[in-house]
Amino acid sequence: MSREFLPEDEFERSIRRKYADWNFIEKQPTKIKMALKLFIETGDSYKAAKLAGLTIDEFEEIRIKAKIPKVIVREN
Amino acid sequence: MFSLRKDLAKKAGYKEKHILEDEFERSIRRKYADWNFIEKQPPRIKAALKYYIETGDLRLAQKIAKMNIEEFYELVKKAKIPIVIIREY
Amino acid sequence: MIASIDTCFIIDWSKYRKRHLLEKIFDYVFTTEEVLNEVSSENTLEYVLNLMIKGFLVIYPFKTELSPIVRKALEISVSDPRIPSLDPPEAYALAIAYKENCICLTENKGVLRLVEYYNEFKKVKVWRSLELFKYLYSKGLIEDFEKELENYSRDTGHVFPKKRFS
Repeated sequence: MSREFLPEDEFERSIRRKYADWNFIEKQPTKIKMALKLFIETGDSYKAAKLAGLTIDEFEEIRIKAKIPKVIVREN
Repeated sequence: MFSLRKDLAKKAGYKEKHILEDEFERSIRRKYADWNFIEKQPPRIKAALKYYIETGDLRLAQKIAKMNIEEFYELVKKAKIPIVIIREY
Repeated sequence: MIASIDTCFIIDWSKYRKRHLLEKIFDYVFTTEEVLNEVSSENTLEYVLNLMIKGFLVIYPFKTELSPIVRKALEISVSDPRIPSLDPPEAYALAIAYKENCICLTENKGVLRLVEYYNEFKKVKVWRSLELFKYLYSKGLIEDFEKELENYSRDTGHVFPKKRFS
């Protein structure tokens, strides 16, 4: 049974996808590239850091360089 | 370890079935390995591949080769050394 | 049903043309960062990435609880000549299966022999690719058992000889 994505998740993912620097991402070493893609899809820095073999701090630095935002939805 | 002589293996409490299994698997690996390819490898890699053929111990072979597991695993496949899973009947 | 998985199993399974079948049997599969650290090829990483996105491949959250079991398994592997080498990735896969009473997916001989020789680990159900295919066949998820073994052989370099040891 796969995870169900809430509408909120879909919205956040669309923002991450939209603002990410895909040129930068595609140029990264394979593991880092995959980890950034994982973060874009799930918003989960812990998982992404583990995949990349990095600490959260180290992953966050790369995430910022890749211009992938952390999305916090403000409801009206 | 599977590289023990049969008499020593039995003394160490190795089950007869496992001794036969290991011997059979070794024979398959020896038979299908691409020995031309193996002999052309640098000494350390050659040693690691031969060790793997004789023992089936991927982890130790990987350490001998000083490679990461996925790289070494790919090399085993390039050397046409099969991963043997016996189906008992 | 859930499982734990080690590095070599995930590397091999990622190459199999019907790798999606894993998701048909298990609800999710546990792994550890030790396994993730060892995968490096584009193909395997892509596969791991997709499984993590789906929430199917899950990093085991209670790793510290596994330390005594992992330690025991590694000690045995070092001191008992009957047990082939175990490294942390497969020791963790074994430990998770022990703790969670789930299937351990591995081809590592060390795990297989440990479970056979040591009573305390006997309860662990270890599946190699062969057992996984038997299960897939029993559930009607593959039609032709021999053909799928052949496919898996071609994709991963495994062989499945028949042998009787009397």
